[in-house]
Amino acid sequence: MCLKQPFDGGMCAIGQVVVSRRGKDAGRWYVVVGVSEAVRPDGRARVARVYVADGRKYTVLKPKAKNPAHLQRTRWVLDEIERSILSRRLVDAGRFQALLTGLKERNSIEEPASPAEAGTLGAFFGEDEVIACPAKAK
Amino acid sequence: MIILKDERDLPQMRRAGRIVADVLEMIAGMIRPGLSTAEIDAAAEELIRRSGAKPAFKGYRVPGIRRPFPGTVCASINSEIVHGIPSAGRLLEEGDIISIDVGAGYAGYFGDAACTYPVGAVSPGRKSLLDVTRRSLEEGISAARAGKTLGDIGHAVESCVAPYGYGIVRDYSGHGIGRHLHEPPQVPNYGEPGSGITLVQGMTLAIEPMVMSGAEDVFTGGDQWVVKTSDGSDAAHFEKSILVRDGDPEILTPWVCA
Repeated sequence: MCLKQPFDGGMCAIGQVVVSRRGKDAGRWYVVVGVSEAVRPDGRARVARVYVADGRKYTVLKPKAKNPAHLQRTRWVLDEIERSILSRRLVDAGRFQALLTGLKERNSIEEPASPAEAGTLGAFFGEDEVIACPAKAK
Repeated sequence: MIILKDERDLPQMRRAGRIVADVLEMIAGMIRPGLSTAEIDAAAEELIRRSGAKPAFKGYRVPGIRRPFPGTVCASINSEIVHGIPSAGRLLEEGDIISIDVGAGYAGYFGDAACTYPVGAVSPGRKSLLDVTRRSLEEGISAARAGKTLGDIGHAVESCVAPYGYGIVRDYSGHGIGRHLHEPPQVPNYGEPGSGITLVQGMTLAIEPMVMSGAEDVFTGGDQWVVKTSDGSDAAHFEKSILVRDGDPEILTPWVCA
């Protein structure tokens, strides 16, 4: 039985614009600046983390680690950020912020004021593209 | 989190996979015009339970769908891609193609596989669709070895299908499998070589190309489960569960259907 395909950290691209769907920052827009895989000490599990930055609170040097299941991918990739990171050049925080803000302005996107409003983000993707995050494991 | 499997897990996974393969091979011998999908479902459930396993799909719940899946197999005919609900009223007709997707749980581990069968003599177009989709599964499996990436698997599938002008179902993907029917990671049927996470020995994946003869657009039917092609074109679906190793992967659901 196949799976409806939500965002998977394993398939994310550096420079990809993503939206947080869980946590205090739900609804906030970020750019992927790294992906890590770690093996648990017992060797039986691999943990994926996606590192994201917004150029303000979280920068390329101090990114935020997110569970990939708690992010939603958008169709946008910021090439300039991707090129800079892949060529190991530092991205200026102001430039980073400008690129992300520019993208949002060009597409008339406003971040929700609170996590409670994050659900309205679906409007940007079309109903079919809205992917519910799995419920938190008990 | 991707759970790697070792010899503590693999005997049960091989057994679950063998049961699923047996079911698909039994169904291959049953397929004929006039057969209802409910009859296929009943036969599959009987064999799974007789083998000491449980149907993995029956009662399976997916977030966002209120009704659990009611069948033991997913039976999807012609333009139905996946998740068709078996019904006594759905009779096979000469020239149809039917995709049967089976899952079984054995001793806490799961096996998952699918095959699309021709019903009697099918048109050359449908035969080609089945051949190409099946070949794309083999290509995808060949790419699933330690050191390669998820993107390599998707690229192998996509590269096999694209020259024929067929569409790939991009909204649905393969998945990890093991103690749960669906585990991370997602295994898309498209991708860039070298992209995505690196495969390592011990990953168990269900690779399942879903290919359409028409445009790449799908919709979900009124029962909330069945996924169909938007333009009514035909769809085929083949799936095997595999174990990633340093060399060729081990096929955990080794079905052989002519």
